[in-house]
Amino acid sequence: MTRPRLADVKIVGLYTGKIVVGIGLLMLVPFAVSMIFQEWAAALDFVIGMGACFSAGYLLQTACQTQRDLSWMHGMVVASFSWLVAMVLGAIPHYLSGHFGSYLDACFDLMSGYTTTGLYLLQDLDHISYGLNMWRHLLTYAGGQGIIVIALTFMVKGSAGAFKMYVGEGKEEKLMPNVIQTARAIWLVSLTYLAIGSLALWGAGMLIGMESVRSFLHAVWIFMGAWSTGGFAPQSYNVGYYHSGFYEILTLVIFIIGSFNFALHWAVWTGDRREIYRNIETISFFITLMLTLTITAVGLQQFGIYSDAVAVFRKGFYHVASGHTTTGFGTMAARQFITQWSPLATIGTIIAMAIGASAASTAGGFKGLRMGIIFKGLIQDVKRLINPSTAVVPVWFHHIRDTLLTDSHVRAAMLIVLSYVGMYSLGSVLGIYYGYDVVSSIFDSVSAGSNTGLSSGLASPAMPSPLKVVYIAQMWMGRLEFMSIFALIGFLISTVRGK
Amino acid sequence: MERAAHTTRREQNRKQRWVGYAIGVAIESAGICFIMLVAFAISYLVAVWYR
Repeated sequence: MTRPRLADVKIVGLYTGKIVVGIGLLMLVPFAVSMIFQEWAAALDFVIGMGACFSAGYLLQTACQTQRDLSWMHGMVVASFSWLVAMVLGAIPHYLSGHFGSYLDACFDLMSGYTTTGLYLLQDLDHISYGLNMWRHLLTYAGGQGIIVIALTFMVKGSAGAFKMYVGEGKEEKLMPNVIQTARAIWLVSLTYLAIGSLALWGAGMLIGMESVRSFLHAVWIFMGAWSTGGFAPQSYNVGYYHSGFYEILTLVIFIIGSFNFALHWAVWTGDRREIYRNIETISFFITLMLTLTITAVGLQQFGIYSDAVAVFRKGFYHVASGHTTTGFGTMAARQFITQWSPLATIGTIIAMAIGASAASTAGGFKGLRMGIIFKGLIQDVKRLINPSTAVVPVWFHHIRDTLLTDSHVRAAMLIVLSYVGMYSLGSVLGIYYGYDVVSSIFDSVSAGSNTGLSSGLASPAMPSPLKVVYIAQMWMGRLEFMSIFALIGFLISTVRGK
Repeated sequence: MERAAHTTRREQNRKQRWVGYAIGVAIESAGICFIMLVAFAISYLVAVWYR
């Protein structure tokens, strides 16, 4: 094991500094909202937060001045380390708002936002300032595209190593030949949908009698929560607050579209319309959605709590789709998953959350691409068994282009899926250790690890601090898909023990 | 004149690109609604049959 040199530390520090400055710049938006609505105390919180980000970012960039470009190891370490630093500094306005019991709770909310999870430990959500509401939703929207993507778009110029940071953040798709153009294309897709989706939700809000400005702000926030598959909402009753089927359908469409791969969006937008039904991820999503929904629907029928198809759609389908896309929007109270639904229905939702949606999207979980690859690998192995041993059994999958399935594809997919299973298990066991019931422990652990945000009521300010720390780690690992975190751990160990 | 023609062509390309994006948004939205309805219909029918 080689001990990292000062130059390696410098390069990590330099790029982390750039990203921290980016987080500070992002705070300008909630600061402006606070000023507009004359929330002076909230505005001051953001001034302090920006001050901390700019100071830390400037210090890091000054102390770590270097002309070297990133290697793969640096890119991975920057990606995972910058998320931690961004969490600690971004939590300052949260903590100063007085809505959190401790700094750890504020960090939990931050990590939940960045990773588009949606679990929260904030107290009295219904009475927080407009500025803090904007900050929570903006960071989930920004986190959905990726903190690195923000940095690539606005702050890092023409770096050959930029792609390595981008990959470190769990995205591998290149929409354009150049990674910075790719980052900009991701923003083009997201901002276009932001305009369309917010307008539609604004209209829906007005239709149900909300006042114009409030309806607009709720529309923007709910869009950000839906598109980024984040699940944050401005009211504690989440989407159920609006009591509107139309509003629910709009959010459904937005979060399902948001859960698709950016490469798929780009392919459809630039003329390859057939991609939407040929892509392995959309096929995989359709099949797993149908299966998990069937399990949940049968489970709901067992207890017969919803009498008609509309109720099953608004409660059953909504939550399974919300879980499958790892959004976390809900239209009922958290404890109802345990007290009202049958265990089978709850298990259907847990499986949906564990699988998750598309790779290189805002979503978490195993991902449809991996499920598709593993299924095709299984088919290939069965074909190999029934054919003569000398026979060559080619299997193809389509994801933007046709690709020949190899053992390395299956191995890589299995490795990540196994890591997710291990992580889900760790959180579940810890929940059970602290005395929570088995189903709730599994539910909230899978929800945190797959960045979903639905809760059975376990995740609350009253839960033990070690469990909060483990959930923060699960959200972080689930979002970055392990590899960059393994790289960071390796970097730290070799700093201490390397030669 | 060549520059004017170039500008017009660029404008047309930009318009075409945005029309393409709009069609993409429409196709994605319609595709999602279709997936949602079919998945829900199949699972609901299975559940009703089970009952």
